[in-house]
Amino acid sequence: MNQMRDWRLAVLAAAAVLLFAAVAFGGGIKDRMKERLPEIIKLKAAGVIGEDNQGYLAFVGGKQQQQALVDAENQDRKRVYDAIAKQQGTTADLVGQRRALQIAEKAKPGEWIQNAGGKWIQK
Amino acid sequence: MFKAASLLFLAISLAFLGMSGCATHHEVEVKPVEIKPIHITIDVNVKVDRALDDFFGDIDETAQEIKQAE
Repeated sequence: MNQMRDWRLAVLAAAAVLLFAAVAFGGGIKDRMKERLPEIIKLKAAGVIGEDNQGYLAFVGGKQQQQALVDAENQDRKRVYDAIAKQQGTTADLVGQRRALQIAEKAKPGEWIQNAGGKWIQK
Repeated sequence: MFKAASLLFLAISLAFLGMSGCATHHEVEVKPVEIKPIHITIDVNVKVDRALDDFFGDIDETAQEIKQAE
């Protein structure tokens, strides 16, 4: 009887740790992404960066401002795509491509987007 | 005796011949079903889109708010 209770407690503890880890991991990335949003929106409006067809930020034109910020954003996106791919039993590439479609749909007029054929267009 | 056996053999042979003439042969062609993989692909895309919405939903909302405020 006591052994059964110990098992239940162990399972509950493991579930709590997993839940905490998931919230902490997801929350951390989300917070960082939200913090970067104002700067990313400015860079997009200035035509410095655009959204490629794989779900990542990319420099368009000659200027390469805020390289560290763009790299950090892309690294976090990669982590999210990897996690979703693992959860759904697919590839991170497919997740990124699906995200690129969502981003393109929500993009503001004037922002640079790479279409499925690889061509950069201004929405 | 021999005549009777010959007649029986002839009758059986004719009966088999008659039956083979009545037999029909049907070939059913089964075409490969290609709908299933398409369904699976759509299903994966829908699930991935939903997972993306779950994660990026509030981030996208915040982005829209910032864009509108500008």
